Amino acid sequence: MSIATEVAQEFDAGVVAREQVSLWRDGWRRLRRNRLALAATIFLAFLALVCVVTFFWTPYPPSVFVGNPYAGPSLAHPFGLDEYGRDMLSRMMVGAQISMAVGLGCAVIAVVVGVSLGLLAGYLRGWVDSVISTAINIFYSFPTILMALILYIVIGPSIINIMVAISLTVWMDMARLVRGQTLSIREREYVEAARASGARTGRIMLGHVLPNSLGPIIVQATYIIPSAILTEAFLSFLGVGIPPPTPDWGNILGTDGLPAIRFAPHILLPTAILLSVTLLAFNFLGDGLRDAFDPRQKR
Amino acid sequence: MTSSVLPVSEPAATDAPLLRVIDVVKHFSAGVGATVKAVDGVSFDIRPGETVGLVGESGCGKSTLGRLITRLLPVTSGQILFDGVDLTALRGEHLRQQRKQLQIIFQDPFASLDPRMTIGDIIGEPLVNFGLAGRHEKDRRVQELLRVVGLNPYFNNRYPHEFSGGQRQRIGIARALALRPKLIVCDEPVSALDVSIQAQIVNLLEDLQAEFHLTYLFIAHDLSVVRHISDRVLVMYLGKLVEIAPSDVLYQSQQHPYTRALLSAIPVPDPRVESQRRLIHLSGEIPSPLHPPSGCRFHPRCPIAEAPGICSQVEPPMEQKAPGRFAACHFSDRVVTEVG
Repeated sequence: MSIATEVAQEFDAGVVAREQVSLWRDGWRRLRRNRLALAATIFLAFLALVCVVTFFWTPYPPSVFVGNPYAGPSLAHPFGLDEYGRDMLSRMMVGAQISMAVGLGCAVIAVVVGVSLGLLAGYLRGWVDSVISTAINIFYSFPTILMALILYIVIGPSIINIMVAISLTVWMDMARLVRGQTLSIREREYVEAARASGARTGRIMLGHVLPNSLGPIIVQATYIIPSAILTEAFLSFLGVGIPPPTPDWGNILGTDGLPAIRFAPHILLPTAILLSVTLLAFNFLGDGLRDAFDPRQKR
Repeated sequence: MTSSVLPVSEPAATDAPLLRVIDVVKHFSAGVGATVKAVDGVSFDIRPGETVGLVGESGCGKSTLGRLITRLLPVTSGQILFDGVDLTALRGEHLRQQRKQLQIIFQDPFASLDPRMTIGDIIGEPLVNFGLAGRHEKDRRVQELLRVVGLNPYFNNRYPHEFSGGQRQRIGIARALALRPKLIVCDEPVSALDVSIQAQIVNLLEDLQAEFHLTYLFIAHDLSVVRHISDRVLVMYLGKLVEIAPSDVLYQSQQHPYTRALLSAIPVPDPRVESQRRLIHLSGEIPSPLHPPSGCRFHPRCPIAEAPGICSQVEPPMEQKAPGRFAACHFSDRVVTEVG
């Protein structure tokens, strides 16, 4: 198809249609133009690759004595050794795996919970909406860390439990977002058309409302990941996260790095930087996605 | 040409009404203590095979009425009898089953097609909802429907944004036809379209009516389109019907001053006739349906009203003024001589 006819057709179909339908292609195009978001994507892809490699290979076993405690960086141990003589690079790699797993796991749980409750509240309204909205407000009124801490202590330490605990503190934003989207989309004519043609409630919610709110949901999920990683690291930093000797970014910083910061900063600094860069990368990616999916922005 | 795929419904043997709307009321609550009387006591019949036009200004409640009849909105009171079944009493699965008989074509061809679905999925959705077709059968039926509405059958994998307004409206029509309904509510199906496209869509609707024995309730604010397609015309003002008449006589003489004013607003294509044409200017805006005027709702704008007097005090009933002609006006005999 020539460019001219393509332009003509787009013009025909009108502004509304163009925004909504070529959203994926348009979004990807705009995301690529955003240098920060592109760099973030590349960094996160690299991190994901490292996590996969870690399943099969680390330079040394991560929780075993392999050299002099507190030894600085060397050729054999590029990031040095910690207070028990364990290889820092290996520990950072395993830590990355755990952090990413917690981040993604929380995002998945928060998306499933938030999207389901948001859809139900927004579409059914009435008492269902009242109950869900009240629950959202109650959950909001607790300080995140405190709630994660309490939940975690109540349900006991394990990586699954830490994901559940953190998820329970981050699902509300998603539920509120989806509820708002649903309230708006349920009034569109194509939803009326679906009802007129005999679609059942479940089909309208999953077949029409959900696909039309995917853009904002993906953006929101991208913001959930870094906040979950940070919360998890913070819990481990406080010593109530992943139990040692399994390494994760939080307990590397809190248990191993912080006591030795004056004489062996190589334990804390690289992990701290890695954590910060990862959080930044997710936030940049989220910003990039938000801009890419924003229909008001036509660049 | 399509009888094998879309068997037409049996033509009704009698002239019993297909649709009876009896004193239907729809009030929307607008904050504490306020109600918008969008539809306020409307009654009429539609016979099988008929096209009934419903006209009125923006905001008079005609689209609301269309949505009440298709049960997209619940009524506040009144009955809607479709083939003898009271739609207002149906709930849940019973209502869903009844929807097969009763479809709607929407005004906005851009908003009424889900942008995330292919044309095939949009047109096939009614079939899937009622389990009427497997995947293979659905494709075949969709292609048949596309052909019926004058589109290329191989468009079924495309998305709505790839089509123009007129083409999209054809897709909306194909979707409405998929379940072989008896009645289709056409909610201003051409008012969003270019004039040249309007004619094509109106002609398509007429062809489909003949082919599938459809009955239409045709909602519009464009009187010339309604005149072309309708057998009878309902004129609505501020939530109430003011006049019902066969369209050929309605355009000759009117029994209600509002109808007369509406019709005077139709431009005539001949510039010499047009320059002679007398426009009846109604003073003021359409009143708020939150606080409709007392008595006859039209009296503050009516050129022949006796207000203060009977028109501002007594609500005129809908009365038969001549065979087949009904109007709600205290002075319908004066309309032709005194208005315009």
